[in-house]
Amino acid sequence: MLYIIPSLLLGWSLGANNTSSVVGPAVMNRLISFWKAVIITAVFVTLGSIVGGAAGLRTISSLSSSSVAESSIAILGGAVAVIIMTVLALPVSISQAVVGGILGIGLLKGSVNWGVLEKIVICWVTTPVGALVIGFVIYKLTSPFFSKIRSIALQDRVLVIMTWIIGAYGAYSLGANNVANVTGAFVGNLLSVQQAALIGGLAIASGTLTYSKKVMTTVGKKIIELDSFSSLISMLAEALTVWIYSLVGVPVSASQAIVGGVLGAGLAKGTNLADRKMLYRILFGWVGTPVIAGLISSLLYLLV
Amino acid sequence: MFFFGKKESEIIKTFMKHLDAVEETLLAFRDFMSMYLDGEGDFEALAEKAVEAESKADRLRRSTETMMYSGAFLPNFRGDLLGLIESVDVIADRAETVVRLVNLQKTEFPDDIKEDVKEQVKISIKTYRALKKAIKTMFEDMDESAKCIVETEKLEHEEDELEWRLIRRLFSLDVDRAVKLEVRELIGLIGDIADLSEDASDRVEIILLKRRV
Repeated sequence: MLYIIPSLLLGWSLGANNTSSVVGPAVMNRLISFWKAVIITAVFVTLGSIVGGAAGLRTISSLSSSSVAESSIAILGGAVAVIIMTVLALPVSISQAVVGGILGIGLLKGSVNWGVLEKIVICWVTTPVGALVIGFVIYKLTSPFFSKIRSIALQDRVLVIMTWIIGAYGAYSLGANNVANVTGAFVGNLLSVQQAALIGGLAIASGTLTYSKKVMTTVGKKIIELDSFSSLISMLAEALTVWIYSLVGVPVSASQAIVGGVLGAGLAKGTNLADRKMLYRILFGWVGTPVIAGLISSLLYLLV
Repeated sequence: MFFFGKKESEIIKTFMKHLDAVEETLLAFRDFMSMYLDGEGDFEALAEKAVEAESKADRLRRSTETMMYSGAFLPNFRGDLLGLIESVDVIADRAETVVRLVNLQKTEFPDDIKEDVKEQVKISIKTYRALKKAIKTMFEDMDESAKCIVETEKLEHEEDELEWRLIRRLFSLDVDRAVKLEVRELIGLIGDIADLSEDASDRVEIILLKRRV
């Protein structure tokens, strides 16, 4: 059971990091208080893991056949990569870190399932692009209705209700999609799908509850500054994108989806990008994370 | 106010009372000026009334603000609303200042401009009323509020023109320079009532713009 500890660590860091992608824009826009946001996220992320996590768990477990010890090393590689990227203050894709970690060992052993990898990489590219398109389209479709509301009271009521629904939905999607990153590598060799879903979900929730404030502040303020309505649309785009991939069974990055969602909503409104350099750094992080995770896990594998 | 919570409705009610108290101050100021310029009647009592109404506005402003700190409205809007309440409150302050100064200095307004000063007071109050309507409608009908903002700006411009005409007239008169300077300062302060109303309407406009999607 000791092998699961890196998983719990990764789950915790996932919650600490990716909660910002689910509710960050709303918290930064002060549509919901930080505590209410993290509690609702913790509850629905666990629920999402248990109810909708099975498909992703199976995908990850089929990426490369590996023993429990190898899985543990792969996860540790992913977790260390996440920590390095966090120190570099870059938004982290946990999915990429884990897949990179598993691949590192898989390449050494020559046991990589290239067909599955292809499917995963295609999904990575289409995640931010998909979220961008979804954000843009939803904004264009819904803003005419929202702008018809001419009462401040009703507008605020709608915004608050949207925040709760979209926040819960986003957290559910995150759990359903990303629990595979946390415990997927142990499905079949140590845990059943149900056990993996429960343990993974709780680990993510613990990160959400204990350490998500820091990243939420950094992420929420450094992309485009959006108004309340646009920030909710970006969250909805993120939630929808991640949810769609959880149905396909591929873990994707909530961070990538929210960046796409924010850009999409911002573009639809005609807001300019706040910081072009920031976008380049984010793109570097997206390429760098799986590479670093793979290098670390293969190094660890060779050492052990 | 159907969609607001109890706390929010209570705050809006108190804010509306505050708007009324500011208007009360302005009306006492108008009556005071009119009586003072005509040189008849108990203008001291009206000065007293203006001061009292201003204190009442102050009290209402404070209780609105205290209620807001208890967490009503979305935080982004809360800040805007607090700024708006403050900016309305200074309008009453300015009217009170004019009343106190005129009463204290016993300013000798030249006969030739007395009617114009009364007119200036009237337009200033009209400008405030347009602002008041902009605020009242802001909560439930933003389009109507936007129209009132335009009206406020128009009236402020009208007042400004009158103010400069008045100053030009004043300095063309054959009166003591000290009197001219004293009266000019008061004309400026009366004009502030329209200017400040317009400033507050700018804040309403920002609130509306922030909500445009």
